[in-house]
Formats: sequence, structure tokens, C-alpha cells
Amino acid sequence: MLYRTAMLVDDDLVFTTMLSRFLQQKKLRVHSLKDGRAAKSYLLDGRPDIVICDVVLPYHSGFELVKFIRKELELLVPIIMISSIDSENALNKSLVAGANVFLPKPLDLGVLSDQLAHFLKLEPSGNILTNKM
Amino acid sequence: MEQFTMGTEVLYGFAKVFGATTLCYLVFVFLYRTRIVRRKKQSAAKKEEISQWIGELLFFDFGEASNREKEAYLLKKTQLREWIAVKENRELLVAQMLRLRLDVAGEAKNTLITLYKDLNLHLYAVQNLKSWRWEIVSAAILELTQMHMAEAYIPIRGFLNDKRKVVREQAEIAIISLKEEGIAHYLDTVKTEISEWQQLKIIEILKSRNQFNMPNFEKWFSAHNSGTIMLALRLAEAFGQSGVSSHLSDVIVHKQKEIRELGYSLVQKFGAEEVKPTMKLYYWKCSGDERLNILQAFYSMGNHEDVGFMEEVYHRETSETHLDLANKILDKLAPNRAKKDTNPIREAHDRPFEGMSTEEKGDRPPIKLVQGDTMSKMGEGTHGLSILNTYFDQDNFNRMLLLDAVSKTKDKEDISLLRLVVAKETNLAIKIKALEILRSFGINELEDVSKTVPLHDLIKESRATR
Amino acid sequence: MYNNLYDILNNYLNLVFLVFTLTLLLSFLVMALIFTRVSFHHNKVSQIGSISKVMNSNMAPSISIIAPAYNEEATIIENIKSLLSLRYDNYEVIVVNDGSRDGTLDKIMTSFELVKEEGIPAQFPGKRIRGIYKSEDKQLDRLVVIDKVNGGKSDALNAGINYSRNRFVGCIDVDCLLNPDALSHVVRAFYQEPKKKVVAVGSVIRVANSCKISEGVVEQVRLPKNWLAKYQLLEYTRSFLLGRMAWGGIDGLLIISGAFGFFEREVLVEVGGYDTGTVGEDMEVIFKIRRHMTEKKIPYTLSYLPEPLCYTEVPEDAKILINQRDRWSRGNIETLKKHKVMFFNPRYGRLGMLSYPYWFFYEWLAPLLEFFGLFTILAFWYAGLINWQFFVALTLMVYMFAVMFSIYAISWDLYTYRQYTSKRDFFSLVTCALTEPFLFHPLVVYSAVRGNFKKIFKQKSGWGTITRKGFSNS
Repeated sequence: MLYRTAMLVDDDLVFTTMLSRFLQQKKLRVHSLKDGRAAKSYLLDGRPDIVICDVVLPYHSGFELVKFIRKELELLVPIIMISSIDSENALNKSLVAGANVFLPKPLDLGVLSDQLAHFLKLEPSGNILTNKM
Repeated sequence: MEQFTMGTEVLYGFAKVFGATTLCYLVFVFLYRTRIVRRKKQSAAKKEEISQWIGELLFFDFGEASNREKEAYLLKKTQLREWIAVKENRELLVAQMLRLRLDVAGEAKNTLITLYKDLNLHLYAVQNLKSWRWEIVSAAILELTQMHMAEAYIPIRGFLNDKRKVVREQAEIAIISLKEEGIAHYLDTVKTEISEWQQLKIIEILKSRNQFNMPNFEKWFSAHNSGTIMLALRLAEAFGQSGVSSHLSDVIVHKQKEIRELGYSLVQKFGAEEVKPTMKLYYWKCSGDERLNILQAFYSMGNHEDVGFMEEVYHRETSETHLDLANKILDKLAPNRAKKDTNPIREAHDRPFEGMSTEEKGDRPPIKLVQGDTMSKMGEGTHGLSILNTYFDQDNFNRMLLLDAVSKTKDKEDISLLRLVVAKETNLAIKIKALEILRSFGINELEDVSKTVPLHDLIKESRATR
Repeated sequence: MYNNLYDILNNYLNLVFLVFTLTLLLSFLVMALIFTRVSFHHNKVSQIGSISKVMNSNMAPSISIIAPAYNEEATIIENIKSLLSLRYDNYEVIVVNDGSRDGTLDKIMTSFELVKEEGIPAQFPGKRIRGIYKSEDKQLDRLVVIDKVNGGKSDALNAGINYSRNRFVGCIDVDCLLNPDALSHVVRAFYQEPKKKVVAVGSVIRVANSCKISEGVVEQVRLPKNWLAKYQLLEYTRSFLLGRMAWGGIDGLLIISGAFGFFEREVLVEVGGYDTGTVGEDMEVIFKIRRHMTEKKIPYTLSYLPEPLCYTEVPEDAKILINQRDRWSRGNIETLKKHKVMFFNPRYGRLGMLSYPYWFFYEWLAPLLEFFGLFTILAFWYAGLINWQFFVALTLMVYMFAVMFSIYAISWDLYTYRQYTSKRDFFSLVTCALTEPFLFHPLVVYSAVRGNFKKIFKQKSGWGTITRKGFSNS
């Protein structure tokens, strides 16, 4: 079975562990990274199927990371931004930078699950269709 | 020389004491440092472990798991229970769970809370409420609030009006978040001041509630505690309870200025017709700023019945801003009325007050040192010198008026006093105005205008100059 | 007869020095006590719960951060980026280019795609404003750049205050690194008091030298490698953490560092903004505000936060350090002189009876006394009149006290921030504490004396015409 890969960028250890556990349950392979710099270097040869990243990150902010993915690497990978700053401003900024979805913290995992389903064409059971690769 | 030999010994004694203390500090700090470093290492490792455990327990799916997995899960839970019997471990776990709790919503949040309760962590927290140390008590209250432990409502209620500010505020937040009836109970019982920060937090919490049968906040408009009234007013505003309109009459004549101001903002927001008679009665008793509030209220909700009152204002009022507003209101309410400009001020001045700071907000009636007839004389320039004589006795509004008058008369005798004004005036807007007038006299050399001297000196000086 | 007179004089001087020193030591002890009380409380409070989320919602009050820049070409872009990335919703950053002679403005213009705004708002009295710029990029709508003719830091700050329409303004040094949560802390402090109006909020200034910094955020705090910076770190801990917290504890604070000070804008406007005629504008403005509020009889207070909200680079070069301290002492004199009515004036309560005299005697007079004391001792020694035993005992006592105080400061620093925890850092700091009275302190005294000298003998060359070149520390 071929797993799809999610890149998860967040500096909060507990939240990341929890989230990657959740993603694994959705049968995704998770690359969890702590900061913007590590994320950038991973992206030089890694090609995740979906990116989930926090806005506030050490080294490079989430916005910069998204811009880097869109403008420099020119990847069309779906990007979900998560932020504890829940405001119009943050939402606009992340969408302008090139994110597909903006989810505020506290994060409802149900909503995240729906988004994953939308972008990765999950089966109703939550498993990822593997034959399309 | 003798007393100095003694002094010398005392000094040596002091030096020894200080030296010994220094040594003690050094040893203590060094040991403390070692402890910090060790703790840091330990807790980093434990944190890693804890986050793994929480992850596993949170997303365990009983439906799909095999028997062996279930066994492993139960074993894990038992292990965790044993592990958290140690206070340090428990504190670490709770800290991590609380952080996570703020980051997740929906189903995951509920699972987290269930896990928290399942591990009996809330019992420890309730136990902590009995501590005599305030920091432990308030931490426990916070924990119980964030984990939505409604059963802690009763024990926490006892901490309302606690002498210790941190505990009290934490308890207030808890009471309001844990149960729906909390806000009513809180407003009923609160006897202390409520800081602005706390009020914001309370409103925020209540607003984030999905379904909420809020009480009618007008019930607390006549409370003894001014904090209660303010919070009730803010809440009524935040939840758009327009039904409170009929209860605002008492609020706008409350003895505290902040409450009155909040009252006026509600009057305008809800268009509270009921308070019109009170406002009309009260108008002549209150200060310039508040009159503006009243006029603004009439501007937004006045009708033909109020024309009489507004005409009275228009004829009796001495301040230009108020007159302007009154005129505008009259234009709006009775556009066809016959205009009779009997108030002398109107002829003397037609400049708006731009850039005025709201310095004058005190609870006092407006200073009426400059009466209408004097002002008109100034306008004619008969008393050019005396205009600025009383300048420093005036409030900002009148100072502006005086300067306006001076700029009209263009009397060269005012220059020296104008310079004084520029040098001593503390209000920038007014200072700029004085500067402009001086420029109109062709005087430009005044650059440094930021010196301030106490008022009494100025008045003395201004009299001496004359 | 002749000898007798000297004896009397000698004893008399000794007595004066003794009384002065003992008062100083006593006041330090009291300060340490107050500080300990205040800090214990503050630490416990801050451990409970984090900064509320209220501050990220639209209920958060609006803040303007004003950062004057003069010839900052090398670092300006990084600095602005750092200021733009704070965790707070409702704020703007006003960078005031104070007539820089290098490419500061050009660099900002190109990096942030700035466009000139139409119309210049009503102007404060001050130097001419050449233009106001904003970015076309929606993501940079927080940034405003004011370009004006050079007029010094005060003038630049005034221009920013004039432009701002927000409730609170923060006056900072552009090269400071702010904690991402700094604004939330500040707003909480402003809103905390139910009975009094909080007119200003300041914070401890921490030393950024040798710290690991990336993207304008202090990533890892490290002890400076440079010894001069280390001494300053010790001094900052003592005066900014211990001293000012203690003054804040009894509400007698008379200075909020110009590197990080937030004010209610209205109050700043009421007092006429910053004084352009002094080099100690950050101190002067607090004096002015305090006097203003006392004279108007409005209950108010200032808040001082011990959280490390602001990091700054301290000079690593003795010459620059001396210049900086020289300027501080001149600012000190100017401010004290301007507000001399407060001296032991009961009308100003604690300020007049305690804070002002403290500043007068121990911030202004003490270095001078130390300096002239040295000469007296040399003269007496030459005349063979010195009471050696007494002299040695006094020196030893003062030395031990200074070391004790420094070590106390170090322990608190460790307790509250838990930085500099490695063995090496620890011993390095202790060495600083032991050697500071001989190696670093004379430098400080020298700068203070130089400042006084300049102020007294070159009064006329003053700052009236404002030809100041830059105001950054480094």
C-alpha cells in the first residue's frame, strides 16, 4: 500500500505529536518539523502531498514558508495554515501568501479531517485511495 | 580620633557581614543553578514521553482495535495512573494537557477532557483549592476552568470577593465559564472593583458561548458597586439588550463619570427615548463634555418635541462647539424655523475647534469666566490687552476662544502675551494655534516651544508682564 | 593649630563620606527588599495562565509603535521585519526616518514597495515632514514610514505621535528586538488597574550581544563574549531589574528606558510630547507626565514589567560606551534642573520627597563625590594626614557591599529568567561582580564626570539647534 505524505510544521511538541498521531490514523505518513528552516531544507527534495503549518514558527514565519513553496518551488501542493491568531488579517495574509485553507486554533480536528478529505480525496472511511498514485 | 577607631571596627564588622552574605549567596546560587539545569534536562525528556502518551490515548479507537491493542491501551492507562501519583509528573502532565486543550476544539477537546477526568486529575485540583498559598489556589481554579469541570463550581464560588486579587479574578472567570447562571450570581455578589482587563475577558467568554440564556442586565444598573454597573452596561451593549433603555435614566446621572459616559453611549446605541426628560433636566447642571454627549444623543434621536429645548440651549449656551451642534440639531429637527441669531458668540467666532485634545474631562461645571458679552467686546478689539490676561485661568475651550478673538483683532499689543502662551502652553493643539497667530503677525523665530512651567508661575509672570 | 585644623577637616570629611555611604547602602538594602517582595509576587502571578487570547481578537486596543531611525542602513530592513511580526492584531509600526544621510530610506522604500501617501496630517511644531509612505502590499498595511528633516530622537518621536491616531503609542529604539508577545503584556499592564489610570508602561531591557538571533527574534539567550558587554549586563540586571522594579514597587519610578516605553497617547499630547531640547528625553518625559498628573490630581500610576520584552545591543567599545554614559548623565542633569521645583517638595508626595532626591544625590552627585573623593584622598595622602585604617575599612566595606549586591542581582536573574545557567556563564558573571568595582565602575564614573564637565563649561554650545548625530547605542 502506498502512503501519502503530510508535512507538518509546528514548534509545539505536544500539539505536533497529537496531530501527527491523528494524521497517522488517517493513514498518512507524517514528516514533522519544528521550524521554518528545517521545513525549507526538507522541501528541497521531499515532495509532500499536503502541507500543514503554523503561522508562528521559529526562523521563518509560516507566511514566508508558504510564499517559498508557491513562488520559489512553484509547487501546487495543498497548504493548510493553522494559527492561534484568529483574525481577518491573519486569514487574508495566509490566503494572499498562497495557503488553501486557514484554520484557527483551537483546532477542530473534525474540520481538519474534512479538509484532508477534500484535498486528498479520502474514502468515506477516512482511508486514502491508493490506486491513483 | 577615638570615635573613628571605633568607627573603623564597625566598618570591618560590616565588611565581614557583607562578605559572609556574599559567600552564602554564591553557594546558594550555584546549587540552584545546578538544580535548574538538571530539571531542564529531565523535563524535556519527560515532555517527549508525555506527548506520546497523550497522542496514543486520545486517538484510541475502541471500535476498531483488536483485543491485544485494547489490553495494551488499558495497561498504558494504568501505568500512567501510577506515574502521575508523583506530584512532579502530574504537574508536567497537567501543564501539557492544558496547553493542548487551548489548541484543539470539537471532538478532540472533549476526548481530552474525558481523559483528564478519567485520570482523576480534577480531584487533585480540587484538593489544591484548599491550599493556603494563593498561587496554588489560583492555578487550580484555572485548571478546573479550562477543563470545564462544572462540579467545581460550588467550591470555586467561595473564592468570589476573595481578598487576594489574583485568586478573586481567577474565580470570577471560572464562575462565569463553568455554569450559565454564573454571570448572574457573580453580578449579584461582586463587591470589589473590576478592572477593565477583567471586564473585557468576561465579555469575551460570554460572547464565545453558543447558546446562552443571558439575564437582563438592567437589573444591576442600580447596584451599589460601580464595577457591577459598568460591567452590566458593557454586557448590555455587547449583547444588544435594547430593552434596557428605560433603565438608563439613573445611569446617566450617576455620580461616577465613567458610568455616565457608558450610559450615554448606550443611550445613543439603543436610541433610548425614555431618558430625554432626564437629559433635558440635567443639561444645565453638567460640564461641557457631558453636554456634548447629551447634544449628540439629541442629534441622533431627537424629534419635533425637542425643538423647544434645543432653542433654549441655542440661546443660553456660551460655548461655540455646543452652539454649533445645537444649530445643527435645530436644522435637522426644524429645518424651516425662523433663524434668529441672538447669541453674541456666534458673531464673534466661526472657527471650529480643530485638533483639540480632550484634556478637560474633570467632574466640574464648565468655567464661565468668559461671558458672552465680554467675548463680543473682545471681538471688537476694545480690550486687546486684557484678553489674554486671564488666559491661564481658563480651560482649554475658553483658551481657544480667546485665541480666536486675538486672531480677529490682530492687535500688536497681544504679541508679548502670545509669546508667553507659546512658551508656556502645555496643550499642543492650542500651542500650534498661538504659533499660527504669531506667524500671522510675521513672527517666525519661535522654534523651541516645548517648555513647561507650572501654572502658578505663569500667572504670576503674565501679571508681571503687564 | 595648623595640624589641628586639618584634623578637624579630615574628620569632618570622613564623617560626611561615612554618612553619605551609609545612606546609600541603606537605600540599596531597602531597594533590594522591596524588589524581592514585588518580584516574588509578580513571578507567581505570571506563572499562572498565559496571556489571554483577548488580545488577538478585535477587542484589543490599537497601538502604534514608533521607531525613529537615523543612518541605520545596515540593519533597518531586518529591524522593521522583526517589528512587523509581533503576535498582536491591532497595531501599526511607524518608522520615522530622521533625515538619515545614508540609504536608509531608499532601502526601506525598495524592500517594502512603499508609495507616497497623499496629504500630510496637521503638523506638530517640529522639523519639516517630507513625506509619508505606505506599502502597496496588503500584507504590509501595518507599516507607515515618515520621512522628515533631521531633528533628533525627540523630534522624530513627536512626528510619530502626531501621526498616530491610536490609543497607545510605544516609543522604541529601532534596533531593539521585541518579544513577540510584548504588546499583549503591555496592554494587560495598561488595563490591569481598576482604580488608577496607567499612563505608561516600561520593561526590563536585556542584553542581546552574542545572543542567537534569527529573523528578528531572540532564539537563544547567551552571555555576551565581550567583557565590557558582560559588565553592562550585570549593571543592567542591577539597575533595570532590581532598581527599577523596586522603584516601580513603591510607585516612584522616574525613568522608563527610551528603548522600550509605552504611553497613553493622549497624555503624551497633553504634556506636549518629547522635549527636543534635552538628550535625556526618555527620562524627561516621565518627569513631565508625573508632574502633569500630580498637578491635575488624577490618580495614576506607571507600570514596570520584569518580563524580558526588549533586547538591545550594548556597546562593546569603551569609547562608545563613554559617549553613551556621558549623554545619559547630561540628560540626567538637564532633566533634574528643569524639574527642580520637585526637590523635597511635599506637593509631589513620594516623588518629591524620595525619588527626586534619590536621583539628585545618588545618580547625579555620587559619581562626582567619588571622583573628588579620590582627589581628596590623594591630597591627604600627600600631606600625610590620611587615617589609613579608617580608609581601608571603609573601602573594604563598600567593596564587599557592591559585590554582595551584584551577586544578589545575579541570583535573581537566574531565578526569574533561568538563562545563563551553564557553569561557565555563572563563573564568568561572578568574576564580573568581583572585578567590576575596579575595572568597569571607574569608566562609568569618568563618563559621568565628563558629562557634568561638558554640561557646566560648554553650556552655550547646547542642543538648541539640534545637530545631533544619531541616537542609537551602537
